Amino acid sequence: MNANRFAAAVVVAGGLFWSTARAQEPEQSAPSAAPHRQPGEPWSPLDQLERLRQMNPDQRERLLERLPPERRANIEKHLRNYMSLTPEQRAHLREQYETFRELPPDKQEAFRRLFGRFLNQPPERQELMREEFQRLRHMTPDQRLERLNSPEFHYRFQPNERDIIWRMVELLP
Amino acid sequence: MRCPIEAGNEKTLMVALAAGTLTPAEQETLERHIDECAGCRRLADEQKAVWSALDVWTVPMVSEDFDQRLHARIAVEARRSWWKRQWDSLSHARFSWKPVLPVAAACVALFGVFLVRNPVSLGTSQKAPTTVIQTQDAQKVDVDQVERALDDIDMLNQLDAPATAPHSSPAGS
Repeated sequence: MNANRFAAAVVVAGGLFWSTARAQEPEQSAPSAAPHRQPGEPWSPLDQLERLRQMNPDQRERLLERLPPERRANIEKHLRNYMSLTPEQRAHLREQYETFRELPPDKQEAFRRLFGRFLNQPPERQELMREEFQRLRHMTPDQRLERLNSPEFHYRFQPNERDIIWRMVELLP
Repeated sequence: MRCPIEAGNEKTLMVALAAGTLTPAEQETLERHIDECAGCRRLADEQKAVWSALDVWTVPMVSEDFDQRLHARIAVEARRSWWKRQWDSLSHARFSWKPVLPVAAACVALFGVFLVRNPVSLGTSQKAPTTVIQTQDAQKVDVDQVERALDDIDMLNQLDAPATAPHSSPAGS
């Protein structure tokens, strides 16, 4: 009788455990296209982002499920945007990001604050400022200085807009 | 007389015989049957032995202060703390290990299986931050870093529009 009880207890509990463990075990089809690196070398944020991009939906779900809803929604939205880009666009953005990452942390933070001010502008003004920022970045330092002091530049942009563009180009030429 | 054992009333008749509650006619009839029936004779002898033992047993005398001492003990018990009374009730309760042993053995077996299936997660669960997962090939993804990278890449992407011909719209128009 005791042997029967023991067997029944093991079978029932084992079944519960097995079903739980199966739900928690990692995916067997995890992609292995991670960037090459030396053993022990820390992962850069871009490497980790690439890893996240290559995860299947279940793996990504497990990674993000503990986050507050706002943070999770923010990450998922930005990740969707990133994944919708072409490989060439992603490679270009990775280069831009690496350049940005080379800035000292205080300058990175200053640039983010300037971007916040940029976002406070009306959409049509944002478009003009964006075009001007990109045009200035493709200029030599002398050309850039000439442009910033030009009547056209002052004609097109208000003082607040000029300040944002000027500082952004100074930080990320 | 029909045999009481066959009739199924032998217990009633034997007790009545020993107690002397049968009528003289019933007693005489039964005693004649017992002389002839070995089974009934054995029952009658056993019943007589019981009654003889009861006759020998003397009831111990109750002391005169029995009631006083009983009430005193009840009063003392009522003044004891509740947890002492619960502990005594548990310690004096009849306890069987029979149902505990199979359950305990099953739990030990399951714990062993769990250790075999999850050798790493048990050891690192207290060290790893909540937002870091360890994937199958030991590559970590730090959600905080990825989130910051996504924010920065989204920022750079919004600023990264292709440069076009200068617009002639003045500031604030």
